[in-house]
Amino acid sequence: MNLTKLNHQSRYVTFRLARNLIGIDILDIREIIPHIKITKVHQAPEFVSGLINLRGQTLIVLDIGILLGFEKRHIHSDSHIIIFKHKNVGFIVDQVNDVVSADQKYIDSIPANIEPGIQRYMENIVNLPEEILIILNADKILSYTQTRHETSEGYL
Amino acid sequence: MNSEGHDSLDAMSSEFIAEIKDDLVSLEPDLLIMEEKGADVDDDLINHAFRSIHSIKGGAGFINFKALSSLSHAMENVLMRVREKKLVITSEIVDALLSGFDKMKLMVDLIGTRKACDYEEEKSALQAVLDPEASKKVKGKTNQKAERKSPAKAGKPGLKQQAEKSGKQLREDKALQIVKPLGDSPLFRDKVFYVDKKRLENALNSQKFVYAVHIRLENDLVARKKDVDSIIEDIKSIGDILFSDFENLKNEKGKDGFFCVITTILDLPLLSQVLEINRIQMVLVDRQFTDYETILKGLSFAPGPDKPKGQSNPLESMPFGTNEEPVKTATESKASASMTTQTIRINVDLISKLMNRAKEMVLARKQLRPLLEDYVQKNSLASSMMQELDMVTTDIQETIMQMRMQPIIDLMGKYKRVVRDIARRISKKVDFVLDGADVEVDRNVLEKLANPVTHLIRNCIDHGIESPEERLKSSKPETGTISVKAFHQGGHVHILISDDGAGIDPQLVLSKAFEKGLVSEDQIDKYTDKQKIDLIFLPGFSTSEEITDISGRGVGMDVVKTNIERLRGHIQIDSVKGEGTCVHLIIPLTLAIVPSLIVGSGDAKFAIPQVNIKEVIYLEAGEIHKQVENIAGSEVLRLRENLFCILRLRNILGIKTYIQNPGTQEKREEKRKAITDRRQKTNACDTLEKRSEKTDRRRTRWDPAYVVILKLGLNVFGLCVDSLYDIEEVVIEPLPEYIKHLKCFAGTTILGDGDVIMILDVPGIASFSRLRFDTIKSEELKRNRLKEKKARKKGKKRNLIIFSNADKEYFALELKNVARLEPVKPSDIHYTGNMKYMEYNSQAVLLFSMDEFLAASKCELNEEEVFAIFPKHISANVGIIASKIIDTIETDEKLNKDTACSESVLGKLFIKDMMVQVLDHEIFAGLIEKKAVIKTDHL
Repeated sequence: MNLTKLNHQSRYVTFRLARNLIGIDILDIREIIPHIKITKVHQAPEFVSGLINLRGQTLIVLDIGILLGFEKRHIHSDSHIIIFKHKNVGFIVDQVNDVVSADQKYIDSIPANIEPGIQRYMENIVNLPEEILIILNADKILSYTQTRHETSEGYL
Repeated sequence: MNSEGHDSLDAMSSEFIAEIKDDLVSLEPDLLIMEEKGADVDDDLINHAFRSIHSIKGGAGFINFKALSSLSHAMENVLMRVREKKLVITSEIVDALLSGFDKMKLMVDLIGTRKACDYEEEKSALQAVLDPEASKKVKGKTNQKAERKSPAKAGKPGLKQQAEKSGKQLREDKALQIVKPLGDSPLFRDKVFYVDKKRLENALNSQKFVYAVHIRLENDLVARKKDVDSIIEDIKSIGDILFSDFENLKNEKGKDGFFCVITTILDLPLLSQVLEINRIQMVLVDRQFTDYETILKGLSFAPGPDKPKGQSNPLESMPFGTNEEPVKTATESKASASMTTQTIRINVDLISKLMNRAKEMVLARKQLRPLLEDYVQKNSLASSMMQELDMVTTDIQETIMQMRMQPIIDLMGKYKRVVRDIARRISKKVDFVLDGADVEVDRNVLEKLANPVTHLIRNCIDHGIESPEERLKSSKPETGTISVKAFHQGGHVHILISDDGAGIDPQLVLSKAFEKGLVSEDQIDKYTDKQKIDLIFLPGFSTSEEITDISGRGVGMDVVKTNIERLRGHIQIDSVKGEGTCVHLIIPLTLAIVPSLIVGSGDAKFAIPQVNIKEVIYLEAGEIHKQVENIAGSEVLRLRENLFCILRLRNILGIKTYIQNPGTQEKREEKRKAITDRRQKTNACDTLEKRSEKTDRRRTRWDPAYVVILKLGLNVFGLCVDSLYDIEEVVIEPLPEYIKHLKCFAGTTILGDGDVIMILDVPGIASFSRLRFDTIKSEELKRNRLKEKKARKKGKKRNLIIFSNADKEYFALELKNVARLEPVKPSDIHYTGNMKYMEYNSQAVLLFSMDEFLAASKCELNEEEVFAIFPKHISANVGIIASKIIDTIETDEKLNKDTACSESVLGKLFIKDMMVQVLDHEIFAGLIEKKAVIKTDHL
């Protein structure tokens, strides 16, 4: 990763999920690892990709793409796993991009026509010159998926 | 209380104090959220806070910490009203609760130092927030109870003031400092001395040692021709005397020595030499806390070496404990702190982290090895270094694993004392028996078990065991028994806590639950007894009429269940009214090491704890249909006359497996639901039949299967998997978030090769697949009983050798009556008249066929080889010809005897498809002998 465009503003780790450029606050990320073997957990909710062994620690890996309503994608050589800082949870991305620090003037609120199902994971969007960067909120992802799995408990 | 068992109590006190602290920590946020939410506060929150308070109360009651117990009781009363919706949370209420909370925190923090704190203000504040009427009532009740529980308490405030006063006075008037000997020398145990504070400080400031010395009249003075004055002179020549009680020598006769506290610059060996006093009679002393209690205590200690008249000590009714115990706790812990410690407390997380790292190290080493292979081979030093590394890493891993485990006795050992104390307090007679003390549990789990187990044992004593009179009335031994049994099974620790008390009356439970509105009227009739008993797990349930400080309030089993479930454990109650109750706890060993069988289904691997496995059956590809039957879509395995239901792992978990067409290499998803499925079975139409065996992929790709027979308590079922791998010692790690709710898994583990796999949870799989063992169990019981009955009717066990005489004509002899079998070719049988002979060991042996004795067909000698059977206990050298030896079997089947049987036949037996006539050896042998004699005579 080359750390360009650094300044004191919020910085986002950006990555691609089904061609969308998505970012998460760099302070919410512990590390990024190349994809390793993921053990599938049968009967698990669909957005759970499986378990990985990260230096002897078992971590659960989510497929955030599913949460955002994207098609299920296959893991390929560019796939990476991004690990959240405060929880032993990671998620798969198709490609890891730069760390972007967004100038306040580019930050926009979420367009009104975005599906509420997807909107609830979003923080805001950054209107970069070349394309739109969707900023996700790590806390929302973690807390919402939590409640989601709890409600699904009833019929699982 | 007597001095024996102090150790266990001290350990326990600190355990409880730690628990109380934990509960306090969780209480504060709850109270704060309550304030925030006001009237909209949800029940869970109140229940949670209530549980915390209740646990604190319980813990405090247990260690006899009356102040805390009473304050928490008051807080509980308030929360109770809130829970019952009779009181709406306001800031005032929360204020009162929080001030109570703060005071409780202070009390707990002060336990070590034993400073008393007044809690009356908080208590009355708490009572004030209840509406006036209720307040009075509660107050009255509390006081009444307090009086009943501890009469001494009534006079407490007066005594306390008095103590305070005299304490102050002492402190001011004499400026005393308490000192206490270090170490645990028996001579100085329980001793404290009070000395002039100024002089002590002066001495300490000038770097002098302060010793307590015990001087014995006989050995130290008389034997060395000294007297008291001369020894005091001696001491004064080397230092200063801060305290001595030699005056008491004159007052009290029969004393053989006196104590003094001296300051000197000499070290211990020198001092011993100078004073000519044995070194063990002198120890260093330490400054002691200065509160009045101790000063009073010090005074009562100081006059003589005898133990103070404990029972009459006014301090007994001080808020912190009944008598000297808490004092003891502190002194001892202080004393032990000054000695070298054998153990230290380490955060369990740290150990798990360390263990993970060690595992990773082993793995890294494994992976490094092939990379360095060449280098290692060339360099002999490197190879031995690698070996060294191997050993050390393995050793580290093992040691760390050991670190986490703790025998269950560490927890259960305490309860013997606890049971005794409580039983005495409520005048019952109870024994405590522990079985399986050495069962090891993860430290973490053990700690979390303390609370629920305490609760359960408390329940046993309070509700379970009846009073001695009642017990005698119902012709039970006067002394009740509470037994705790612990054992490992299937990656779980099972703890059975049972009592032989009154048991639980399901009807009473139901009516209580109905009274409290926990069940609706229309549900009442539907409950089975077991379900009725399970109602006690509902929050807010209690059968106890009165609320005591040992149990009651109805948060009991609810809390226990929550705690156990938090451990991912399971709780089950079996109770027979009048005979006792057994609580069965099944606790997973979160991080315990469990040998497990690694199995595969599709391309996924799973671990099954070996303790759950009874056996593994291999079904050969072609054999499956012989052993597995499909009953309305469910499969059962026939194995040694037993039927096992079979579950298919891939169906349970929805694992997709693919079948590769050998011709096209095309992969298709396998869709068969059961291993018995195959097209031929449907035989619906000819077209399917026409598919030749080669093209039907299902037929060609007919994999063998493994059925792992799993034990689940008394029940057994089979789990069909595709492949077996290895047996590995796995470390069970709890399921991570998001998949915690999955029933079929007990946890995850990382295998030696670094793969993460899921550990199957056998009870979970059974319940997920809705296996109904209850009925099956009773069915099996019935069958077993039938079998037993049958067995009793049946004859003895026989080992039979079955042989055929002619086609479909079978006879059997008991194996013990057969000397030997000899194969013989029909061509080698020699005939003389109607007699047959064979050559055996160059002797002619007379042969008979069965038709010569009883109604039987003529022996067929068509086979290439026939057999001669030589019965035992026959004097003559004779054999019986059998056309074929069928089998030897063991049977206990009863023989059928009918009139058609000849007298030499014991009876008929049906084995498989054969009707076998079992020969009566005695009669038969007689017949043979007779025949042989006749024949030879005839010759």
